[in-house]
Formats: sequence, structure tokens, C-alpha cells
Amino acid sequence: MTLVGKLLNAKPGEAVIRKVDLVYAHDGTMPLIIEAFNRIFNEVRTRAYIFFDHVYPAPTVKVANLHREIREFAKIHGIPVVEGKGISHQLVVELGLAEEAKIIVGGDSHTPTLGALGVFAVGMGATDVAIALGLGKIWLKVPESIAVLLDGSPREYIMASDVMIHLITSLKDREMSYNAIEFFNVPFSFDERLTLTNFSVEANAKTAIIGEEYEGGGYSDEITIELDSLPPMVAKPFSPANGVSVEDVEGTKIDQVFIGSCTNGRFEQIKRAAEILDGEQVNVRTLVAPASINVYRRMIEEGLVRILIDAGVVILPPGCGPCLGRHMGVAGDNEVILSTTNRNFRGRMGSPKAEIYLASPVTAAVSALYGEITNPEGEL
Amino acid sequence: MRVRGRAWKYGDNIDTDVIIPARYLNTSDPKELAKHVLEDLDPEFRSKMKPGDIIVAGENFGCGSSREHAPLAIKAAGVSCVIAKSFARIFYRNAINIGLPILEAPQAVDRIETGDELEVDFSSGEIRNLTKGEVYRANPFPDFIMEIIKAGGLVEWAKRRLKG
Repeated sequence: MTLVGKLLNAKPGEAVIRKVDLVYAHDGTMPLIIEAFNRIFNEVRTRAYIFFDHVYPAPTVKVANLHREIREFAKIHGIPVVEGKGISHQLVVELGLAEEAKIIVGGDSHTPTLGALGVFAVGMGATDVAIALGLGKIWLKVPESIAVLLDGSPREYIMASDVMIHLITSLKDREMSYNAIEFFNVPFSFDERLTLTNFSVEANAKTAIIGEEYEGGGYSDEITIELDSLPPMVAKPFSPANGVSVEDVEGTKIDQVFIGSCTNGRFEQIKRAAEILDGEQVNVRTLVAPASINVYRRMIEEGLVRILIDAGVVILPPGCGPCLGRHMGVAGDNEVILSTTNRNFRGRMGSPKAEIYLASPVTAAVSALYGEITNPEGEL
Repeated sequence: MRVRGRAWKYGDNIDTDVIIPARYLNTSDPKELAKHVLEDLDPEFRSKMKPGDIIVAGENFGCGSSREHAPLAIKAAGVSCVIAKSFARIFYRNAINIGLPILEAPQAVDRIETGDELEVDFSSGEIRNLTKGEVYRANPFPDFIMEIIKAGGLVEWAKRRLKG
């Protein structure tokens, strides 16, 4: 039986109604959730959390007023609002909110990040989240699962992002929308495991989950990724499924590097980048945003902040940063951005005329030194 | 329930960032959002489309972010229906939840071209291409989804049921 099947206690294809253990959303999606909620319900009937991470601190009066609206709603319903402490998915992990949870609904597409903790976590739109808040339940169709088995050991400069850009690219012609991805034999650290489940959303998976022992049985397919031979990967504009080996795009001039986000803003990921930048100078605008205040604190304690600022990096407050193009490092016309985030759709980070390439923190850091996309395996 | 309008045809993987870019998400007002619908994909769409027009697209329409602003912007612009080969999961639920009719019809998408005059009957799933004189079939909505769309979305549908 699949892990998803076990968590939902049902077979793939069945439609079920389930109690939700946690519902959370952020400043980007809350305004529409509040509108839908207020039209039907008076009372929140589940454990709920709100995080301000998408556009915080407010860059405009309009955003400041949306924040006010959300705070007011949260106060009425006794929902905790966590402001400026980091990205929702990361904080749910750090605050221990996923412990003992089986089913989590988030008002953000990257909610499946929490699958790294063995939870069934699913992203939904505003109306569905409002209903989850008001009823404490949701209806779900149990997805089929494909098993992804990681085999061997990654080479020194290969990170979880490289595995995912490879996987997403290899799955691009498959109908994945109602499938879950279940990972087994994962040789990565805790911080990197969250990257696997987070990035699975870009393969159009409904959710993703990491298991320990692979038993097989009940899976719609089984895919093995040979880690020993996997090169550093880059996703070209304008899709995360446009993955190529970094060699194919080496030498592409870049205007800005961003290291951070729910994909790659955790301590180990920033540390890998900082090790490369230690004692060097970046040759291009480089922004680093820790995924949470706890990551930031460790960066200070372990000397990473000094390394980064000495290398010429701009450190942003914890949060989503420029990933979604609303503030703090928006892309200009015809600029080329190299980013450790998970989406490089047209216009995602600002100007629709900007080009976005996705890569791991290691590839992003070494490229920042040269001002062009650079193969870490060739240069380090 | 029938709608009629001209087709605007696009490719695969039309994501929510091009449907409504995040730089315009400072508001939840559907009319404001509608001003920028599909702006980064086809800058002429908004000014040239007429109420009732139909978006026709390939696989995985609406992939990416969970923002419900995307189907809201399409609906508020006056688009009467989206026909695609397939829809991304969150977008599919969001569209029905806010009362935007969407149909999966791969064969229709292969045949339809921009500018074709279409008539769609949601109860039978029949799509008539009046320009080409062809008829295609989509899976009709189950009754409860049709009711949600007619009510204008899941919230209105639930309110009526609670009252009834």
C-alpha cells in the first residue's frame, strides 16, 4: 500500500472526506480566503495559522491595508499570525505544527513541502481553504502514487535541486496532476529532504512524501534515479521542466543571483553557498534570503553573515524575497536571473522580458563569482 | 446552459503567473484583476476580447500557484468558458469553486483556431464550431458541478443549501 493510501486510509481513486489537523495560509492568499469564509461561516473549527511571508514588510499602502485586514480577521477568530519570521512551510516545520498531524491543508501550492515529515499535505485555493477552516474537514480524491527510488550517492556538488530539476524534466510529458510522488532511499540531510517534496509540485504532483523502507505494491509506477551519474542541472526559461546539464548553458551572462526561498533557503543550503563565496567577491548582484529567523540566527552564530557580506552579498529579511516578483529584487526588462527557487515562468520574478534560470545553491554561488552560469564541477 | 463566443487559442502549460502576474495581486477586486488577465502571454487579449469569448488551450492549463485570483480574473474579464486538453489540479477546483465553466476536450482543442466562433452547451458537453461547421464532444459536468457553476460558485451554492 502507498504511504498516501495509509495516511488517508483509502485506496487510490476513492473520494473521501477527512478531518484536517492543520490549516494555514499566508498574506498572499488570505484576503480571498477571508472573503469566501465570511460569506458562509462565523467560526473557525480547526487548528489554524497565518504567516506573513510573501510581501513583508509591506512595500505599498495597498499591501499594508491587506495586512491590516488579515490581522483583524485573525484577532476575531483567535488565529496566531506569525509576521516576518520566515516562510510558512519552513515555520510549520520549525514550530513543530506538523508533529502528530496526518493531513494538512495549506493556502499555497508548495504546501506538499511538509511531506518530507511523512504528512499528507496539500495546497488548495481560497474557497477550499475557507471551507477547511469553517468545517475542519475537506473532501479529497486519493491520488495514485509513483515511487521514486534514489540509488547510489550524489557527487560532491550535487544537491537536492539537481535531482528535482532532472526528475521534473523527465516527467514533463506525463499526466501527473492527480498523482503523488513518494521518495525512498533518500541520502540527503533534513534541510535537503524538504527540497525534494517542495519541488515535486513543479512536476504537477498533488503531493509528495518521503518514506523510509520501500515495500512496493500499489504504486502506479517506479522510477529509479542514479545519483552517481547525475550532473549539476539548470532549468532554462520558462519552465522548471526545461532542465539541462549545466554544461549546456555554461557562459550564459547573468544580472542577478538569488539564493533562498522555500526550495533552498534553509541553513545547510545557504552554508553550501557561503563556503563557495568565503574570501571571494561576487561579480553580479547577489541576494540571499534565509527561509526563517532561526536560519538567520544560525547564519549569524556560525559566521555565515560575515562571509556573505564580505563577499558583497545583500542579505534580505526572512521570507519569500523576490521569488514571486513583488518586492526586494524584482527583475528588470531583458535581465537574466539565476535563482534557487522553484518557478521560472515568464514574468514570475518581475518583468515578463526577464529570463529566469533555476539551479542549486552551489551552482548559483559559483555562478555569482563569475557573473555567468558556471559549472561547479569544473571550477571548484 | 449555453454560451457563445470567439476562440482565443494558446499552448500547453499556461501558468497562473501569466494568467495574472503577482505584481498585480495587491487587490482581490476581480474587476481590477481582470484588467491584467493574460497580459504577459498576449498583451492584446484584454483589449481585443469581447464578453463571452472563450479561451482554448493545451495541456495543464493553470499550473503553478494556488492563487484563486487566476480564475477570478478570467471570469471577471467576461470569458464565458475555458476549453483545454487538461487542467492543473488546483486551478480545476478553483475554477469550479468560483463558478468559471471549464471543459476538458482534447480533440476540440486540436481543431479549434483563434477567431473561430464557438457555441458550448454545458449540459450535453457539445462544442459547436460555427466557423468550421464541426461538432466536438467534451465530458459534460456531473449535475452537482453544473449546479455549483449555475449558482455562481461553491460559496453561493453552499449558502443556498444552508438556507434551504
